[in-house]
Amino acid sequence: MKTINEVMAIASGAWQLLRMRVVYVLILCVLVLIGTAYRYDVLSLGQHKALMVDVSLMLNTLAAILVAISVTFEISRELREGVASTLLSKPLGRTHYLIGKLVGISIAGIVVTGLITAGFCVIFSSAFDDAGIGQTMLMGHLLIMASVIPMSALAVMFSVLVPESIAAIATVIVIWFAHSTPAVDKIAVLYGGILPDLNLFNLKAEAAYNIASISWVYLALALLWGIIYSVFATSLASLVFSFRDLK
Amino acid sequence: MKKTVVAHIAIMVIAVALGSLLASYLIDQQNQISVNRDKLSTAPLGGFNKFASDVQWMLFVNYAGGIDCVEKPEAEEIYKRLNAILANDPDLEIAYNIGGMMISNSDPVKSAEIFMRGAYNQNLKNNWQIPFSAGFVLDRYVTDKDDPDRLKKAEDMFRLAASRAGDNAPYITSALLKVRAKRIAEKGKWSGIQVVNDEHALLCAMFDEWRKNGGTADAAQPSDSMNIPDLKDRLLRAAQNAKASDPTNKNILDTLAKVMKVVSEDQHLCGNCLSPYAAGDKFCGQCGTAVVVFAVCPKCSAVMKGKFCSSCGSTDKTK
Repeated sequence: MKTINEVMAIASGAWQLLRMRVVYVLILCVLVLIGTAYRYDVLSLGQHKALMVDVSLMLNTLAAILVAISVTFEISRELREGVASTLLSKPLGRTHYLIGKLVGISIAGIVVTGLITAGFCVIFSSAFDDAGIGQTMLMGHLLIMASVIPMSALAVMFSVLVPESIAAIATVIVIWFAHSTPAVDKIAVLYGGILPDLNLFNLKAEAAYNIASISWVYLALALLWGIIYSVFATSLASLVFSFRDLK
Repeated sequence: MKKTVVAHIAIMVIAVALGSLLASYLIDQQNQISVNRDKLSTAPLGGFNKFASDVQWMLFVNYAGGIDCVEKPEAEEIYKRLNAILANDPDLEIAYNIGGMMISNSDPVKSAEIFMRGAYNQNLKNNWQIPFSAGFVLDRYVTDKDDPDRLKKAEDMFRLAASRAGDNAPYITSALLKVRAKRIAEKGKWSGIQVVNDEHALLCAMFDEWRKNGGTADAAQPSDSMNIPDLKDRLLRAAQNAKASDPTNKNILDTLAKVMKVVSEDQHLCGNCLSPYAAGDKFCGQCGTAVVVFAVCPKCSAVMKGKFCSSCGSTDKTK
């Protein structure tokens, strides 16, 4: 119980993000951009419905990535300023610290992407009276929400593994390539184990056309994979972190 | 310290093993959900292939709106752009329809290739326009020099379109039968009979389809046949046209004999123009030729409506 309280105390620091007004302004901007896709009916020759879904999925993914990389700045800042020095005096505390950051930023990311998903549902339903929110569309968004967990784990890992100046860039590059698995799927060694396969959360085309059927089982298993990968990434980060000298 | 390191390593190994197993299972599941995944571009687009395709599509629409005509250079550019769009989103139905049609005159081979790609796309399996357009382009615009198998491919495409079309099927089946007839005419022989002209070839094509359907429109359908509700009427018209095209040609007469024996055994047809005539008729209503009278009472010459003559009560009747 004490451990959970410790972790949640650290997590609450990470979701300070949700208290920033700029986050909600950015969410509003995202929703405005999703709404503008409706005006592209002529330029896309009537493909604006699929376009709106796809834009929402794309912006939701970008929002998830931005939230995830925010933790790299936060961890680096706290370590640099010695904010967490008391907590990090014991090796066990370091693991708690990383888990707390992971939990906190994951919750923040899920809230942000959840708000975008809810906003999209309202906009889409108002824009297209004849079309309801299809299950595949919703699943596309829920998968992005689930992808926040492994993305956050990658961000936490890189904020510990690499110098502060390149942690965010390294995280973005890895997340980008982890979403582009056809480009790197020749690296078959333990793919999805050591190397992250974020493409498992990518069914954007199917969601945009609302074709095929993404089951709840698939969503649950993808979420489980995300958690397992987060365990690996956090363990690696914690191991490296335990050997690091801190001021 | 050592204990913690071992615990960390153990957790990592277990996580990697479980993660790999689960990932490989999920990749299989994903390939079932997303049937065109293997056709996607391998460019590292961060999973935003669909969005890249949307942008490319709008740029394509913009480009297409700015050109006055589609000659060879424009067709090249259109084909290049279509390939880029479809590599990122193989399910963009409109790209096959509009793009393929745009280059059908100036580069029919590439147009047919685009249409055929769309026709065989699993996610567009309910679309009949794309295979129909593919068949149309292969039949009308592609030459034998471009593709010696074009008619075979066109027939396959029309057959695919007809199987998906529902109410539009009669329109497509006409195109299919004409292509089939062209193939027969190209071969020059049908069931040991020399094919003499297009009308003759069309008759042979229809009879082939009749046989594939098991002799009736309602028979259980073999996989490569399709339901043509008015096939019998069409066959009769084709037979009339074939006879009219060369009334004395032995090859046509042999084919007619073969066809009529099977198709119209329950009908009485004029020997000259092959029009059906009714019980009691002495001359053909279409060409005036004397016909074999049937179903009249030999005693009073009234038309027999049943087993007994309704005029004199006789039971005999002419066959």
